[in-house]
Amino acid sequence: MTMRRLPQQPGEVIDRSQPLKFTWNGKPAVGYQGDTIASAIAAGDNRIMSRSMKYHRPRGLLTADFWDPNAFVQVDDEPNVRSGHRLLTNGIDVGPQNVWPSLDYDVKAANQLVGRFLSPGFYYKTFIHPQKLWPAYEKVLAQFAPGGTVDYESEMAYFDKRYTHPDVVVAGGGPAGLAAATAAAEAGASVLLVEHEHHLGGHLRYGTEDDRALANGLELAARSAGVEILLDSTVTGRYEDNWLGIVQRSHPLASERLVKARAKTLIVAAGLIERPYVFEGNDRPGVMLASAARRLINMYSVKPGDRAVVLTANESGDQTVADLERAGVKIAEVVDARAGGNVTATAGSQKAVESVTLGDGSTRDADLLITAVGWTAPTSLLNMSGDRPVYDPAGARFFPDRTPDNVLVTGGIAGDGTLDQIVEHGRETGALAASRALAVAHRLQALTARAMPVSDPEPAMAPDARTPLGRDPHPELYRSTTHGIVDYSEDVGSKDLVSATKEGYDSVELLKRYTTATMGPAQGKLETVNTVAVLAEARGETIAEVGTTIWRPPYAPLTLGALAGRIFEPERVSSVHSWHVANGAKPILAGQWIRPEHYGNPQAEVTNVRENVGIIDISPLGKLDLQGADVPKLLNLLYTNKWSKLGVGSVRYGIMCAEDGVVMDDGVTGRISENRWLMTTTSSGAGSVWEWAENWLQTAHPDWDVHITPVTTSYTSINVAGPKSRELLSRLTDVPLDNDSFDYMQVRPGTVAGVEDCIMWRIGFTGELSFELHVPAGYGLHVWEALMDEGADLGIKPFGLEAQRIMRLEKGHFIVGQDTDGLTKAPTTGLQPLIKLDKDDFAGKPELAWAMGQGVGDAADAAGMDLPVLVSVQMTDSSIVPPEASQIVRPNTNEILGRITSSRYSPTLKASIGLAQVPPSHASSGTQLTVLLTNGDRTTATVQQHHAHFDPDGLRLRS
Amino acid sequence: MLLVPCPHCGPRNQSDLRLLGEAVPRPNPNTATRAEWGEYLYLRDNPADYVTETWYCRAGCRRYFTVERHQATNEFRNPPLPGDKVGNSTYTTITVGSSGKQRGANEGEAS
Repeated sequence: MTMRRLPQQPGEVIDRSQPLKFTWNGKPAVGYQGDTIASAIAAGDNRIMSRSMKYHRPRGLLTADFWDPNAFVQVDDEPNVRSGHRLLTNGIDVGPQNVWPSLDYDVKAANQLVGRFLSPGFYYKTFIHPQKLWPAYEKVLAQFAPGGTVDYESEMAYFDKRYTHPDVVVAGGGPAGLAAATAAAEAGASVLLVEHEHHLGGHLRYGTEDDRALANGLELAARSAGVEILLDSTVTGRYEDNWLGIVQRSHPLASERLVKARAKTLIVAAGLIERPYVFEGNDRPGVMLASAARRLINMYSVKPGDRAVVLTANESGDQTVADLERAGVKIAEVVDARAGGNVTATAGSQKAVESVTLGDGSTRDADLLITAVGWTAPTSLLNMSGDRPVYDPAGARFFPDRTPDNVLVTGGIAGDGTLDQIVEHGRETGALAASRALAVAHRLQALTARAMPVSDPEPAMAPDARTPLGRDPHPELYRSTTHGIVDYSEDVGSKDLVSATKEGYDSVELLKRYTTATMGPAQGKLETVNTVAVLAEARGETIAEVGTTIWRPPYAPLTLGALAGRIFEPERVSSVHSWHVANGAKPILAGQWIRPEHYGNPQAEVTNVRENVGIIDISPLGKLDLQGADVPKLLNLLYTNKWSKLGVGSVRYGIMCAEDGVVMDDGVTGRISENRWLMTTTSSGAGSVWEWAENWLQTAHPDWDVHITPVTTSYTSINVAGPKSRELLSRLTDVPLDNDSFDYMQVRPGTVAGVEDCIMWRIGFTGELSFELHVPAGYGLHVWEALMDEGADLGIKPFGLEAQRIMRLEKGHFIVGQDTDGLTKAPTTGLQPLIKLDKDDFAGKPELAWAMGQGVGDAADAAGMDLPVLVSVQMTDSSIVPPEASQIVRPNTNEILGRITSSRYSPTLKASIGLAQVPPSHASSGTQLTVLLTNGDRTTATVQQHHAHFDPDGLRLRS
Repeated sequence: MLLVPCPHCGPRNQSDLRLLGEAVPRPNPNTATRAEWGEYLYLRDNPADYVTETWYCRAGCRRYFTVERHQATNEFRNPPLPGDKVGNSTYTTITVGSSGKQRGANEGEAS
C-alpha cells in the first residue's frame, strides 16, 4: 500500500523503523511515525481526501499543512481533524467528511449541478418565505450541514491552563524567529518561542540541504541559549499590554493547554503563507501549491503525482521543479509567470486532473499542477496590535505599517532578503526586543509603588535601528483569465464574489459576510487576498483602495475544551458537611456553597420545627466583625435605619440600599461588647457588602475608626428553631435563656457544649422561638452533634434550605435578589418604618426620599406612588403552586401587572402561599389577582392583610 | 487584558481588580436635585482623554485607589503611592453592590 512512498529522502521527518497501522475510509492503511495523517493517506495513493462542504466536490491536498481546506477528516470520535497537520498515531480510524453515502460516490454532489441556485444568499432568499414552512426546510437542510460527526458518548478529556510571564514571546520558529529568540535570550531575556508546526525551521524544513543545515544550526543555538520552545502551539491572540493567548496542542497530558502569557515584548515572526491561484478547475484533485509538493517530497517522502505542470512566479516555485525531478515526477511544462506565462484551466474527471490549459491556449497532459504564485502575510497578530498593514503592488502582498513599541516584526512578514539578511534581521530584532523588555519592565515598575529610586534613570525605549529588510518584486497573480474557487473551505467562487458585488455587497466587510468567503476553517489565511483582488477587479479599483478585512482572534482555532480548561472556582462546604453527607442530605449548589436542600422530606422538616425543634446549618451566612469607635457611624451610613443607640447585647435588623435606592442586602447586626459588632449579610452578599463598606471607609471616610474583618468561615452558624429550642439549648449552655434574661432580638456571648467564645442571638427567620449560634468553626461539627444527641428526646431533626424557605415564606420574609430585583427600591418591601429620612446621610437617601414623596424638588419629581408593592398572596386553589416568576395579569387580557416572586405549598396552613410584586392599585388586602400559569391557564390569588401568613403578631418567636 | 498599576501590589491583571468607573464627586444628599443626583449616578462624559478612575484591588491588597487612565490608549498615569488617601470626602463611587448585581434564587438566602 505504500505505492507513492519514495526511497529515503535526505530531509525526511518520518521514522521508517516505526510503522503505524490505521484505517482510512474503512480500509487498512500504513504510515510511519512522523507522518501527518494526510501524508500517510497520500502515500497510499489516495488523491481524494474529503468532499467540499457545499457542493460536495471531491478534493485533494492543496497545502498539505494546518491550513489545508480540503483535508478535514473524522478521526475516531473526533470530527474536523486537520489531517495536514495532525500526526498519525497507531490504530486510529480515519474517515472522510461531507460524503454520503461514500467518498467515491456522493449523492449530494448533485448540489453542484444546481450550483447556480446555491449562489450567495441562496438560503436567505429561498427559504425565508413562507415562514411557516421553515421547520420543514430546516429538517432537510440540517442533513446538508457540513463537517464530521459528533459523538455524544465521547469520553471526557483533560484540558489545562498555564500562566507565564516571559520577557519576550516569539510567535514563529522559522529562521527569523529562531534567530530573534536566540539573540533575545543571549541578551538576558527570558524567551518563549511558539511554533505552530511540529518542527522548527519553518520553510527551511522542506528546503535544500543547506536550508536544513541552517535550520539545525539555528535550532541548536536557540536551545543552547535557554529559549523555552513550545512546538505544535499557536499564539492565537494578542490583547492589551501583550496579554497573549497560546494554545499548546503538544502537551503530554492535556488534550490542549491554554497558555496565557504576559510578554513584555512580542516578536511576530509568523512567516508567509503560500496563496492559491484562481482559475477554472483549480479545486480538482491534483492542483497543489508548490509548498505542499515540497512538504510531501522532502519531509514525508511522498511522490505527489506522475506528470506535472509547474506555474512559477518565484524562487520557491523554481526549486520545486528540482524537487519534483528528484522524486521522479516528469515535468510536462514549467510555466514562468514572470515571463508572462499563465495557466487558465485544468480538465479531467471530477476526481483527477488529466490536462492543463496554458495561457496560450495549448494543453499539456498532466496529473499534477503545481502553482507558486505568491504569498500572503498572516498579519493577524499585527492587526490585534493596532496595525493596519498596507498593500504594496510591487511586492504583491501586504506589509506591516506601524506597531506599538512592544510589538516587533521580523522575517517574511517584515520583508524579503537573502537567508543571511533574514537571520541578521531576526538577531537585531531579538536584541531590540530584549532591550525594550527591560524598558517596559521599568516603566511598569515606575508606575507603581515599587518605583525605582529617583537617581536610577529609567532606561529609554530603544529606538528601532535595525537594517530594514527589502522588498523583492513579485508579479501580482490572483485570478487567471478564468473563474474558479476562491474560498475552498466555504465553496465560494470568484463568480459568486462578482455577482455579490453586482448585487451591491461591494465593500469587503459586506462581501465577506454575505458570501461567507474567508469565514471558513482557514479563516482567510488562504483566501482573503484573493477575495480582495476579485472585488478590486469587479470594482475597477486597486487592492490598496479596496482594503482588507481585519484579522481578529483566534489566529488558529482552539477547542472549547481549551477555553473552558481547568476552572479555578472553589466549592465551599461548612465544617458540618461530612455529617450532612452521612445523613442523607440532598445537596444543592448555592453560589459556591454546597448545602443540604433537605434530608428526605422538607414538608415534615417544617412540621417538626413548628412542633418540636430543628437545626439548620447556615454557615454560608455572611458575617463581618466590626470594631472601632466609629462603627455606629458606618452602620448609619450603610443601613437605612438608625444604629446610634444600639446597646450592648442587642441586635437589630436593617436593609441596605445602593445609591440608586435599590435594595442591595439585608441582615441583622448585633453589638457584642462596647467596641465590637457582628454584622450578618445574605449568603451571596458577604463579599459585596464587605467591599461596599470598605469603599465608604476608604474613599469617603478614611478618618473613621473602623476595622472590618470578614469572619464568614471563622464561624459555623447553626439555627436552633422550634418551641423546644430553649429547652434543648439550656442543656448545653449556662447562659440564662429565659425571656427576662435573653429577650427576642438580643445577643449573648457564651459557652455552648463546652465550646467557648460562641455567639448566640435570638432572632426568628423561621417564625419560631429560635437561637442562632455562631460557633468557632473548628468546633462546628462537635456542637452540631451535641445538639442532635441532647435533642433526641425532644424530637430534634435537622432541616435544610427548602424547609427554611417554606417557613420564611409562611412568615412573609422576603429574600433580597428573589423577591426584590435590580429595580426594587426599599419602599416596595413595605419596610417604610425602617427608612429614616431624618438621618443626616445614608446610602441612597435622596432616592428613597423621592420614592416616599419627601424629596428635594418639585411635586412632579416627588411622585413615588407608582412603585410596585410587595404583598403576600394565597392561591384560591391550594393545589396549584404557580412557578416563581409567574406573571400577574389582568383578568381577561395578558397585560402584565406584576409577578409572583416566591411560592410554596405551606404544610402548616395547608395552603398555597406566595409573595408577589404588584402595582399599588392591586396591593390592598382582599384584592383578587389573576395569575398566568406556564401552560396558559389562569388561576386566582388573593392579597393578604399581612406579609406573614402565619402568626402575624410574632407571638411564637417571642414565646 | 490591561495591566493595572496597583500602588501596593504592583502591576496586576485587570481581572484581579474591579473598575468602579470614573470617580465623581458625590452631591450633598440633603440638597441635591433629581438632576444632580441622576448625573452622579448615571452620567459620565467619556472623553477620549485621561479620566480619574477608582479601582478596587479585590484579589490583592483589597484597597481602593484612584489613577488616571487614557480612555483611548489605555495608558495609566499618576497612580497613588501607598498610604495616599484615596480620593477625599468629595469622591466616591456607587457601583459596588449596586442594583446591577444579579443573583440566582438559591443564592439570596437570608436569615
